[in-house]
Amino acid sequence: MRRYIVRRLASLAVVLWGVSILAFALGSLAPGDPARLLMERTLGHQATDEEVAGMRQELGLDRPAVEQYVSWAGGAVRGDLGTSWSNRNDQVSDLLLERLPRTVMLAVTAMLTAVIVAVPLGVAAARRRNSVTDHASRVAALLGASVPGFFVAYLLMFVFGVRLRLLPIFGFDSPQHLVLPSITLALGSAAILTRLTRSSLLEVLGEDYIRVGRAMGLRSRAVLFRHGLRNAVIPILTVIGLSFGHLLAGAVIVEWIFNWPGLGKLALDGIHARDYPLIQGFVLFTGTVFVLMNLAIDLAYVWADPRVRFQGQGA
Amino acid sequence: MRQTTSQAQPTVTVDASTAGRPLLEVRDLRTEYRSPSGIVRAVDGVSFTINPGEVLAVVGESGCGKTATALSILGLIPRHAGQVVGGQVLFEGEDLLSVRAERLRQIRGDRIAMIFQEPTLDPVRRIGDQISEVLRAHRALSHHDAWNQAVEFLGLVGIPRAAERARDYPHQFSGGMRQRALIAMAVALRPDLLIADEPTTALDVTIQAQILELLLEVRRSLGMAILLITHDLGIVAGFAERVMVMYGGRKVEEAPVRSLYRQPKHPYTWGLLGCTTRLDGNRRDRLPQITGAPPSLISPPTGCRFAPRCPHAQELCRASYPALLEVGDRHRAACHFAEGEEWGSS
Ligand SMILES: Nc1ncnc2c1ncn2[C@@H]1O[C@H](COP(=O)(O)OP(=O)(O)OP(=O)(O)O)[C@@H](O)[C@H]1O
Ligand code: SF4
Ligand SMILES: [Mg+2]
Repeated sequence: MRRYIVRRLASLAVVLWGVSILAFALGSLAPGDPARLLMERTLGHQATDEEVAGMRQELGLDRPAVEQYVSWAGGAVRGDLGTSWSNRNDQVSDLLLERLPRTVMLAVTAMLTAVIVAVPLGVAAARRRNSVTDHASRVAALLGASVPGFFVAYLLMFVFGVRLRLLPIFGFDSPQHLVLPSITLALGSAAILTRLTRSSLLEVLGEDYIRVGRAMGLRSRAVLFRHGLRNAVIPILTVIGLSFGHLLAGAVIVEWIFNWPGLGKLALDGIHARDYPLIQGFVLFTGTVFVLMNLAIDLAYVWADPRVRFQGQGA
Repeated sequence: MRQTTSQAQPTVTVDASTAGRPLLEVRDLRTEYRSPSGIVRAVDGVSFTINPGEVLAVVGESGCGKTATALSILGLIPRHAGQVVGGQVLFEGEDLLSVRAERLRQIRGDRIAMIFQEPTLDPVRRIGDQISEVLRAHRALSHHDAWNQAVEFLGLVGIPRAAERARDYPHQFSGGMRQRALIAMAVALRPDLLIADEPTTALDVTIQAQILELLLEVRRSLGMAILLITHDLGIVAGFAERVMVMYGGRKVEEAPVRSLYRQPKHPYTWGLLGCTTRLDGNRRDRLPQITGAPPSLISPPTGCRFAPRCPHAQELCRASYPALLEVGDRHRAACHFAEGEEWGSS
């Protein structure tokens, strides 16, 4: 089991390294000359070539790309992601950390919503295969997975915010502000999870050990949950981990629509302003969160599946 | 109820109300599966009885309805796949096909237990816990007491260092050991009937004999009746008292083991015996092995289902289904010519 975890950590390190190169390249390969852009923005008018060269030197953009990467990555390891270009007094890491809790709150609420809705629905569908419940959940999941997020967002805003005036639409001042954005964000994951719960549970329920449980006179509830769902959790965990990544990505749009001042909105503002350090920092940062999330899922496997726990140990 | 199962004692109790009555009486059982190409009549009017403490073997080729018969008895045909469509399954006089679900649950595992071909346990739960869970589903036992009984039964079925191994997960057991653990689970509540559906087919040849021996041993100490399903007549001789031969969803012959081996009456049984190690190596009139494929159970041939493969088939055979007739002491066969002269040289 220790070997398993060490192996996971080693592969995570490699993935993170790859993410950092990608994040860096995203900034330095983008079209346009950031030094000129920044200089002109600061000056408010056309910059001379000397001024641009000065700025380039100040930003370190005159150095070879590899050298730039090394110094940027070296800073990142120490938690220093450089200074934002659009707000020149702010450290990128400070900006990110300030926004992080808000996005985490949104993503976690959405994930919990998805799980709380999807798992019972999937279980009900699997239990009564081809029943009305099953078909209804299939249609709902199909809709949830295929209707674009922004459409759902505007629909929810219109119904609950404008018509019924039940919930606030913009901002993040109260818990009620969390409701509509997290529902919007949860929808896609909930749809996938519903279908997956159904199919994994059906597969498990077809296993021989389920029949053994029934033949030995276990109560059907015990068979369904203690053996059925408990085994189906293993594939479900994988998908929860993956959809957390999609959730973070989806958060960018949802935050923008609902004016939720999280990481996603920060990133969009950064893109508008061509604030490369901010964008690079954001990509590296979310990449790290995603990778750590995967580690958490791998650890959850250890809990969920004894075959993983005992890997490499003789029986 | 707190049980002290210190050592397994023979408990062949025949109380007054059940004396003389069969333990299990299956009457005209009919079970169908749904398949894309039509209704599969997996069990088509099968009747038989098992007496308390008796070992009955059910033999027949793959697909003849042996498993379907066993699953029907315990109400285990998956609802989405098929259903029992007729007959009665009288267990001590109570029809299991019409009892309430909770009553059936109480009987499963406690009075009638079943082990299967694949020795499979829940991969994510410890073996001791799985046996305890079965005990606690039927008896008011503490976790602790149930665990101790589970360990005890694991020891009884020959798991070495049972107290320690009870904490293992199924993947840490070999196939043979898992089947032993499942036998422990099945007999832990001292059922009156154990249904064993090809319990050795999935195991190594070397292990097969051990598992059969274990079943006999468990039966000696606990005294339950056994319904052994197998497609191998060779293992039946040393194991069962009576044999029932199935073909195409029906019972075609039934006899005490000795008379089945000495005087098989149904040509299909002859064929089966031709495929197995002979008891009597001197027999000269050895029949060729059965050729051809088993009948379709979706639209079975009218008349005798064995006719397309039977070397003795006549016009009559294809026209009408032979009734199951008494052909000897407790010996019955469903063949138009079973009572005639012996099928000899061909
Ligand atoms: N779930 C199912 N759906 C449809 N048909 C089935 C199903 N299970 C079994 N059958 C069919 O029912 C018939 C009887 O099957 P059964 O499993 O009882 O055979 P068996 O005698 O136990 O054979 P084996 O020796 O292979 O175990 C076969 O023709 C089989 O194809
Ligand atoms: S009834 Fe006819 S076809 Fe059927 S087994 Fe007997 S002889 Fe063969
Ligand atoms: Mg079978």
